[in-house]
Amino acid sequence: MSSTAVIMMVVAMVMVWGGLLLALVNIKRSPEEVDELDTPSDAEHAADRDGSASTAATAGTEPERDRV
Amino acid sequence: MSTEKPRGGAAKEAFSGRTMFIFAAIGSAVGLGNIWRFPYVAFDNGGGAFMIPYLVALLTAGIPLLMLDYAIGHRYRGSAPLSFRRLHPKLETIGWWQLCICVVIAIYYALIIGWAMQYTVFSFGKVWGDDPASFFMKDYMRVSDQVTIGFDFIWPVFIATAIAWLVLLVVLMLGVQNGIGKMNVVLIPLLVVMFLIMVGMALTLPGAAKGLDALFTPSWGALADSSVWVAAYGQIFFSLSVGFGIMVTYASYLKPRSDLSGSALVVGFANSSFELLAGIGVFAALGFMANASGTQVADVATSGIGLAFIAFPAIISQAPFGTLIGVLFFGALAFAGFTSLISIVEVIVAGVRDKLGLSRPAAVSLVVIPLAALSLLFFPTTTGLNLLDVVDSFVNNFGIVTAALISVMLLSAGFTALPTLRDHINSVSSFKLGRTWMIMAGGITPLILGYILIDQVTKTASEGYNDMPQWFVNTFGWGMAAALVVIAFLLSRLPWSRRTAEAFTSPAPAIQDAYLDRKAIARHDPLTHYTGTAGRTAALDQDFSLRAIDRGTVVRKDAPWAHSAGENVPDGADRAQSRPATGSQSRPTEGELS
Repeated sequence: MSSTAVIMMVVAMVMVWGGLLLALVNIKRSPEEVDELDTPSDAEHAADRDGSASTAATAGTEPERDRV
Repeated sequence: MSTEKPRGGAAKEAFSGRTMFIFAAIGSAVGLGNIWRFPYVAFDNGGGAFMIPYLVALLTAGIPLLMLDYAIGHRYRGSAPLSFRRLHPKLETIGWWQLCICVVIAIYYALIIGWAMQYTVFSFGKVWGDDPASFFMKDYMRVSDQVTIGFDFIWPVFIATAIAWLVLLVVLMLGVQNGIGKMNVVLIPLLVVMFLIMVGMALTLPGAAKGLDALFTPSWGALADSSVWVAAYGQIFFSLSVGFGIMVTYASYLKPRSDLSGSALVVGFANSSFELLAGIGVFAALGFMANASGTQVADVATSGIGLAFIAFPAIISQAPFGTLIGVLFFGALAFAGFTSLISIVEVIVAGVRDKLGLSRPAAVSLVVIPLAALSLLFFPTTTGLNLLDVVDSFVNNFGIVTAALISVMLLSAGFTALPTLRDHINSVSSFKLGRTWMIMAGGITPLILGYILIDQVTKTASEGYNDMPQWFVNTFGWGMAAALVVIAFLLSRLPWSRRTAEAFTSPAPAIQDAYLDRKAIARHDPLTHYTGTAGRTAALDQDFSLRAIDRGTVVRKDAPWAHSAGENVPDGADRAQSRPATGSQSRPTEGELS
């Protein structure tokens, strides 16, 4: 292999695989958060039993919207 | 956590965590294109110099588009049609268009997986003999001289394709977490390990250095050539599975607090990492082939079906431990294809499920069985290869590109959705997005996609397609691509299931349209934060736009099944009547919006 080809191969590897590594480090730094909204269907399910689907479901997802 | 609720609707399922989601998204992005398209595209467009436009394309179009898809699916928590519908009632057609594209791709994709599975077995006996090209075309696929539609089945291919569909049926039946998630968590690491071994073996072959030399020697002049940049954007766009509903669907299975932009960076770079690995493996093997036959790498370099089913068998026949290389290569091809096929068909399953309010098993049967029937009827035949060629080219170049172009333009210009979607991503993600993201997703991407589309349309319209008969190209190429739009529009006119429509309101407010946004800006109101429930879409029974609410001109057409007890009006279609808005306790009133 010519030296320019070797250099370009190394550069490509560093940029692409290095980018993957950085992306992994970045996501590892932000741990997964668990919150009450992890089971969004529960609010709706409960609402069904109350027979007031739309109001309760709206209320159930309210906190999520506030954060948005 | 697969929670099957009796009520149905795809939004009821979820991945157990973001790791599962990331594996599934990588499984979808890493497909046949990574293995058989990237190496040749890179070689053909400047070699080592290609890496520069390629990385620019990844950062300025690929990953931004991936984030856009994630934001839509995650914010509106539904299949592609449902998410777009919730984003804005007029966008439902876009969702169905993407779903129809998935239908077409799924039908022919399974055939290639069938071939890869069979060639894995063929590797043991090197069944193709001395002439893999004539084996594939004449002995294996018995390709007909006539370019037409025929039903002269090739039974071994038929059976292999049927097996692929059967496995798919089982995986999808198992659900998002237990089927799709677990399948990807097993197959993706396996795929990487298999490919690493394959690449390691290829690098030890005599002539491997010659191949890598051909792949990586930069021709810097290529950087001044606009077609090289277009090729780079095209490769990134087609290989990331963006723009046709897959990432929207998968993101809807993420939990509410999930790092969207962080995941998109991982998926985008993982996809490119695999492509680079495939490039090294494929060109090391091609270098060996050129070395053995005493030719140049440029003479043996090829892509697509020719690379996988003609060039590779030749390499396998000549290389030491060829059988092992063959099993690893074709096994990897089958796995990569299969994880992509899962995601393609899941788009359809989720859409049908949401629209009809079905349980997962019912929706999977309703989708997979007819798709498998169509796929087995048209493709494992002596005429299937030509059909695959035309359908694949047109659905990609005109279907996916046009749908992506129009949706990005509508999201950025027509409905000013990007600020809201950016805020949504920032509210849950580690990697914060700014105006740059909006410029990339809403500015650069449509420009590039528009250029690619015009380029392809003019070329194909003037030159025809691959010397195929015009009627065949008109029917299965242009006709098919245009029919998808019409079908999508008709599907968007059909009512949603009562279950889906009544069961849940949209988790997030719809994007207002440009007209309303202008009014909000004039009053210094925030565009993306809603103080009350104003702007939150009513569930699916909302057939009017927010502009209509604002102007007080809502005309509500009840679906035939809507609560009409006591309103003894026989014809549902004639019942259009004016009401402010239904369910007013949670719906916007004129005062709140204007």
